[in-house]
Amino acid sequence: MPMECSLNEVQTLSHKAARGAGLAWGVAQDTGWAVRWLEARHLPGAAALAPSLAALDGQDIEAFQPVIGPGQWQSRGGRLHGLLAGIALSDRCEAAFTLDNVVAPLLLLPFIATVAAARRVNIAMDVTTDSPVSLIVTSDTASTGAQELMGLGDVRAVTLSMVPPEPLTSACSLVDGSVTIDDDAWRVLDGFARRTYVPESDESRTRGAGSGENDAD
Amino acid sequence: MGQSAVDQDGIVALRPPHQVMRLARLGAFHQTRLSFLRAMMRQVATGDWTFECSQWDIDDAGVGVAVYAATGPDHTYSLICFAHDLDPDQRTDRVIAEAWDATFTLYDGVPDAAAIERLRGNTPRQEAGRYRHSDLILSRTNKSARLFDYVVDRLALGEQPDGARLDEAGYLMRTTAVYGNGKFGIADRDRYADRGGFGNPFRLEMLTVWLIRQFVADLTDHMARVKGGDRAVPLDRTLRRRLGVGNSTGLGLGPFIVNHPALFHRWIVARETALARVRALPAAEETRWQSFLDWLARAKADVADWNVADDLQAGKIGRLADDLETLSAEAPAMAAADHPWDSLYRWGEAHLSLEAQEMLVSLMIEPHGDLVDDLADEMGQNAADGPGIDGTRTAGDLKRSIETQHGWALTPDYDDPSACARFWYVSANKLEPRLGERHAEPGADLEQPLAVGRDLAALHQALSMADPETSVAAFLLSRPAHRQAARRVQIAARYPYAEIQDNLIGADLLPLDLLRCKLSFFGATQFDPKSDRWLRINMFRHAPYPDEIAAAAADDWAYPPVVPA
Repeated sequence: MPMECSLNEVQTLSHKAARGAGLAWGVAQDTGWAVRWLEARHLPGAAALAPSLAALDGQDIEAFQPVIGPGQWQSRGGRLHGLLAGIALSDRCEAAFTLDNVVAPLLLLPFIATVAAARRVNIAMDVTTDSPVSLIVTSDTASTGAQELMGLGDVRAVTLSMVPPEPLTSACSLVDGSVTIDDDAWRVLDGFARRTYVPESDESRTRGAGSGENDAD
Repeated sequence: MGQSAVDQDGIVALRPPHQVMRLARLGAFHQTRLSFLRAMMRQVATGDWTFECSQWDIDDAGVGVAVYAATGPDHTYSLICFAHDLDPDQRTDRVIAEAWDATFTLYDGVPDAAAIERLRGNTPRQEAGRYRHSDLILSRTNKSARLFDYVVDRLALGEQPDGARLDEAGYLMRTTAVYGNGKFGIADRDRYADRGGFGNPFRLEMLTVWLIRQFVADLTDHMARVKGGDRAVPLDRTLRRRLGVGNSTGLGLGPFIVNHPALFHRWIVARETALARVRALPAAEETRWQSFLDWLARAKADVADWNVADDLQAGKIGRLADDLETLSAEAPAMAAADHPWDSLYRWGEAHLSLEAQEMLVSLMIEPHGDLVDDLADEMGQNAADGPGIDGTRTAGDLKRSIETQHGWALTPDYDDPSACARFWYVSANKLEPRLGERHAEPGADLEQPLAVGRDLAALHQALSMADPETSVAAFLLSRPAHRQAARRVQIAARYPYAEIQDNLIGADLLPLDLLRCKLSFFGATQFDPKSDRWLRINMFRHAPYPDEIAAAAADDWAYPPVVPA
């Protein structure tokens, strides 16, 4: 049964899960933000994040980071993580190059949107896979082609280019209310999130928290 | 006393961050007109709000459901209350509690029977239940058992309780959590962010607690009637006003102001701007000056009733009381001074303890509602619309920003055991924020990113070893561990009051200061520390109730009227 939850919940869970999978706290914070951005637009951010964290788990995260060359981004280890590439392109405020062998390309979208906003453009995104996908990312949403990014698995290449900021003919709409998260994705993310909690010890129980013994008078 | 702070354009600058953003001062803040619960009450006292108890199904055991409807110009909010029969042995304020005296959900609109049934299955379970976006706020209360039973017994006999005993505790029930913004599935904040005033911070939470206060009063009367039948009388309205809603707050609240730097900056700036506006007044209007002296007298009386067991706080209160006496003696002569409010403030800064200085700030703002109340609507901050990192800046730039903005962070030697004695973490049990002793217990490897000073210093060190012309983007790509600190530096450049300028993991950290600062913005009073990391407070004490707000005087209740001896 899918999990119905608030955007805040899915953001918080994704944030913690990213940290639990070994990403730095600052990267984890941006992960939470990105998944919320996607889920708020009916795009399965949590379902994209879960297996992509599993791919990082126990691996050398450095290997998934972009190696930036002129017009082309590759990875150190052969697979470029959509989240890490997204963060890097947002930091650079650049979205005009090709990314090779991308894991979880959906996770790129929120970061591409920040570049679109900053540069006042739209960004065309062409995804090279067995069934090619093309979509447009604007400053605050994406064309409905974005929905086809799920279920693609790893993609051979993603080419980004800046185009004039015209309104989209059909765009992903905003969620009104709660979102529904795939149960498996929730379980995987929750498993990673739990790694960030410190288990009880007798010492922590009495020392750490707050209210003392006789707080019920 | 030094030079006037008023510049040639008649403007007083805000107090600088290095003065305001010290934890000892932040922990000495008192409530002000801009506090969230006061702003909420001003909003609903405008005359176009009605309040009614729309359902009362509480049995003779004090168990059942009640609904209170708050109807404004555009929306109705309903507080759905579940009253329980709690075994006293089970009563605890800890987050690990699983049962409470009463549990609540603030519902968006008018609930039908199906909604109430659905919530009946969840609200009493609190964190263990699941909620929907029609459910806005989730809360629970526990009785102050001694006082509750005493009041019910008196009323049942047809008599009123003794006022002094009411004042001792100050409340009949206390909340132990008030959840908003998407927790456990309840509505995300942005669902009501554009609902006029309720988009402002914690306004809905404050409405919830205020309605809970009405429920508690009604429940007390109900239990008295059950016990005493025709003999019973309702609690006298004057006495009823002296009861607020208590609250028991621990470290759960601690990380918030650290984790929301831009928002915290907005709160501080609103308060400091209010102070600066008052200080800039070239003269004091007679009525306002009189009003200030009247508030001061009331505050003194209130402080005389502020009793706590904690030695440290008791000492501060004693000093506060002395300082308010001194202030009372000095103030009248300043009325005719040039820029008298500024003179008064600067005198206070030179002569008073922090507690008294910050109380003076609150008191100076009190008579100037028309000058400052607009600021209460400027304390919100939209959620970030991206990572917020400008990676095109250089490493050298970032390093210089740390030196300019965060010099305080570079002074401690964080390798010294006392400078890193604590660590913040989240417990696996009930997911509570906690503060551990780094050298005495496990878990520091799972430390939360709240050691801001240390992390800024580490970033500074790493930047010192990097090529200053490297872009921040390239630096962070190779050193992602510094990402959070780098973001904070860039946030602080736009929001100078974002950072607490103290070591949050030092041996001398008083976590209470973090809690009290946030609670002062809520509008809490009667800060009553029970340890260095949890305290009891009171909210809405002396405030009108929903059933009398329409007729009540405007926002004039925050300090109790002086009772003749």
